[in-house]
Amino acid sequence: MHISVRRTFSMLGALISISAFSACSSACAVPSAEMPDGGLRLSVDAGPEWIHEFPILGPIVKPNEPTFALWLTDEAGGYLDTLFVTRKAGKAAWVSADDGRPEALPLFFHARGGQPSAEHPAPDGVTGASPKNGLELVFVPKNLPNRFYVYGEFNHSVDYNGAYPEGVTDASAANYSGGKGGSGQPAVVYRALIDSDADRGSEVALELVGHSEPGAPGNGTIYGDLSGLTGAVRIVRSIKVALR
Amino acid sequence: MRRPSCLLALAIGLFSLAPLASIELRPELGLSSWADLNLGLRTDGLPWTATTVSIGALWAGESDEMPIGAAVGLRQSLFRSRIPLELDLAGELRFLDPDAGFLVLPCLGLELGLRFTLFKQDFLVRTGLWTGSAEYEESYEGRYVQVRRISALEVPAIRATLVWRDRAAVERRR
Repeated sequence: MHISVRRTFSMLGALISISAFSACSSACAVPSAEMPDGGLRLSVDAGPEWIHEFPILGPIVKPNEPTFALWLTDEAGGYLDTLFVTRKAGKAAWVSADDGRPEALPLFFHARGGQPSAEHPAPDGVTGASPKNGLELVFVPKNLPNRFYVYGEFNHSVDYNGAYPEGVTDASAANYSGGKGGSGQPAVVYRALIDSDADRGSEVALELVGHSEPGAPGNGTIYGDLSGLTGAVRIVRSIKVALR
Repeated sequence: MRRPSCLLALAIGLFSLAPLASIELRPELGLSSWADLNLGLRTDGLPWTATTVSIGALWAGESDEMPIGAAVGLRQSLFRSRIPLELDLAGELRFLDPDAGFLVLPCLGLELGLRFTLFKQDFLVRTGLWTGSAEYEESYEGRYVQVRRISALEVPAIRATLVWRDRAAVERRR
């Protein structure tokens, strides 16, 4: 019996190791769809602040992935299509937010003409849970202009810092943080102009161009001064579009 | 996930070669933090191990169209009758539809349970670590683009379950 129990535990140990390895492999790789000719692959590489701790109660915190959206506009800034939006923003599935969360992704909401709502959500195919470590997607142009912008907007809740402290509840203040349970630092915006012909066969990196409104969507202004942002600019390491 | 699942099946198969005499079947009902309800049948009577097979219904919050799924599970428990603790190795297949077609999500867990009696009923609180994931493709036909993306559905790393277990026949006879 003694030997049998020992064998049992060594088998359990092996199984634990294998399952831990399996969990790591699935968490560390970002799955990707096959890219056809003429397709574009968009890759979001998670940065060191991709996961932010959301306080639950006292010392209990929940690791949160960012809320974000990726979309296309024409050269004049006219909205074309959404490539991806995290589920809470895309389905208006917020916890205790009667008016939605306009400060979550103000530029995206402005671009598409308003927040998605429960009655008019973003399509299933472009919404998904916030990925744990980045994202890859493939998109194939149909009626896309030859030159277009790819936008990405990323935000974390309650990521307050010295410039956007928790106590700023005046929505007209330049450093509005949303107060308790608010956005903290505003959403950061990445952008790249893609030329389907000139960029064919190459990879284009989206640039961090600024932050969006700290509160309501406003008129879609992008603020280029990033001096007050700390963790927000490290949510993403890089965003790239590869053209085949 | 395929290799751990095969090893799990092998391990449970080896355990099940234990003598089958004096085994009794005890139904049990478990409600877990993953929002599922499982009905299990446990082979009991051996001094240190028991096997439980279960079926259940689960709430699939990922799905807008079909938020109800099903699960089948196999669990091997190790215990000593004098100690109110159980060490479990469990495997489960979860069937659900995350708005992208039917999906089977295999998962594997190692759990520790604490037995206790309340209102003359046998209960068990079980918690442990789980791993398991399945990939599926999502697509969208927009006006300007067709978008395709591989999504991965993963089980939460920690699961807690409250189990009611039918009293053993020997207990009932006392």
